[in-house]
Amino acid sequence: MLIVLTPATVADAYHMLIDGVALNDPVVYCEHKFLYRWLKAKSINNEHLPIGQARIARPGKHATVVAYSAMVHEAVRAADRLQSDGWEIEVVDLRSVKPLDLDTILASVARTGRLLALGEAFPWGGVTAEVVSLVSEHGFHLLDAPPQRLNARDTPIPYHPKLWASHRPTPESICEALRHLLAF
Amino acid sequence: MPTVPILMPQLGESIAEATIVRLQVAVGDTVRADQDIIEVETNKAIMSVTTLCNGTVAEIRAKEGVSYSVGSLLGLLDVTAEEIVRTGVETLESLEAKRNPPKLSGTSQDSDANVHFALEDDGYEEAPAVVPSVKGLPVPIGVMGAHYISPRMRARMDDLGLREADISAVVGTGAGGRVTVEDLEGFLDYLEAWPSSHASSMRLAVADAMRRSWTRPLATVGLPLLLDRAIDHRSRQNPTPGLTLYLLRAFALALSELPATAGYLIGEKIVHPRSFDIGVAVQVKDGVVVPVVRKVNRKPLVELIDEYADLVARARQRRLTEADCKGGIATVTNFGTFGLTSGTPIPLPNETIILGLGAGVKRPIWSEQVGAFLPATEASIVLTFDHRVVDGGGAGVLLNRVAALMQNPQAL
Repeated sequence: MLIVLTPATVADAYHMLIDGVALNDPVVYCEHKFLYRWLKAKSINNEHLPIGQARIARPGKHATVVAYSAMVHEAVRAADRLQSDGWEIEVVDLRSVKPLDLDTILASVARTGRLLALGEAFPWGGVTAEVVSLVSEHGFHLLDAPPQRLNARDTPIPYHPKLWASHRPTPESICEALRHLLAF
Repeated sequence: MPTVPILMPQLGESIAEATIVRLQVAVGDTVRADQDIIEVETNKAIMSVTTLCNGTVAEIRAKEGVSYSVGSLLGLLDVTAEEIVRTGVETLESLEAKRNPPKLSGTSQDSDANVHFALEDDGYEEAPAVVPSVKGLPVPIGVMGAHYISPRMRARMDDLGLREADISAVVGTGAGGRVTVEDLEGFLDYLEAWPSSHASSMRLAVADAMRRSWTRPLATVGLPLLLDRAIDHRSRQNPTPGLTLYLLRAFALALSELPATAGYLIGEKIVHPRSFDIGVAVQVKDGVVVPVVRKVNRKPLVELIDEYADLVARARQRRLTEADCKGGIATVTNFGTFGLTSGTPIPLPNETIILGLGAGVKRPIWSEQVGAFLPATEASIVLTFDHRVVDGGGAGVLLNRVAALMQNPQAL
């Protein structure tokens, strides 16, 4: 089986690379270029989740954001902003996009009843589409609102930083998407 | 002087925009709080936009005959600082500050910046007015509002064995006033503190039947019925038939003349009675059962006495079979036996009509013949009908026929 890993934290980056090498299956390990610049850690805990298990990056009770790689950090920033309005947003870090940890996602949706799948990639048929369709299929009875997706726009990625910022999800657009979801 | 924007308010739950009908003030006018300043028309009614505070009209941007969506800027008011403090309204400046958060400049140390996406040596600025790629959730018309039940809510109700009728007591705090799972659980916790008992299966059966029946539009009409002739005839019989039997016979004969009143609507089909089998409501402990008397139009009253007595006795002993209660086309209920003079009975869910009899009361009734008020025993007969099938006129014809037949008890 093909394994696709998308670490979002320094600890995951380290442990998942080592675990990935140890696997017999072919592994696609996605390092987010821009996380290099920013993501620092003084030390790495030896305790780590196995490949195929997602991590609750931030607990909450009003809505779930499922994200991977750099978008986990954007989701956490958006959740912090909504905290001041009284909304508690749970953020799930997928860690591995394939295999997808449906159990953790469904448990989270069971707690919150609302789902926003967040990805930095194009909307068509991406990771977020897979998450939403699996949750609709297996967790329909858990939902209070239709599950939503937020992705980059369905156009080539612009080069200029301002254009690019309007092309990809940012904490503002994530907040707005969450507000729509919470209002349903 | 600070400026307060005049925004198109939310005029109704599903109103998204309104058309300006008339501008009721002009630039320079002094206005009070809650004064009507712009008359607008929605698809529901004509109403007015009112001011939030005292002030002077500084600018009017709305044009008569043009539609503006909820939240649009229609004009501006000049308002004194004291008035703003007094009323707490938003000024134009404070609203704009909320919409456009202050920009970052240069290589910011602010932890809120998307620093990890910044390119080196670039004065990165936060992009203004980001448009999310997910639009507002398309909510179909039937889904908005208090009656929407989400899949999660539906699952929870199924777990608890509840139906929509059961949650009508719960105040909804969800969007549009709908009941959320949290509301329901809070309500059930609240009910824990109340004394309660388990509903018997009889009670639940009646509850289910009445709930299903009530989903139809029911209407009730009534007539006064003079009982003296029937009472007189009855007193000379041995064994003595109950008054209900007289009514049962009159009802069956009337229905056989007007079978359309007992038609049952399913989709686009009306099912006609094939045999005039009429049920009689019998009150038992904790509920009501309705055994059915067969072919009432074909048997004279004397022949019905034994069959009826047997059914009532078995009903009270709870020894009726399913077959005893099946196949009725209408029901008679004598709530007069409880001393009730008027009522609005509910037909069985599989029937269109129910005839009710109230208690007989001695009243002065005008007699055209004698030209005076004479004492008579008057009772109310009521017919509750499914208004999808029967109208007042049809119900009236039927009830009048029943009343007329009751004046001739020897023919029953």
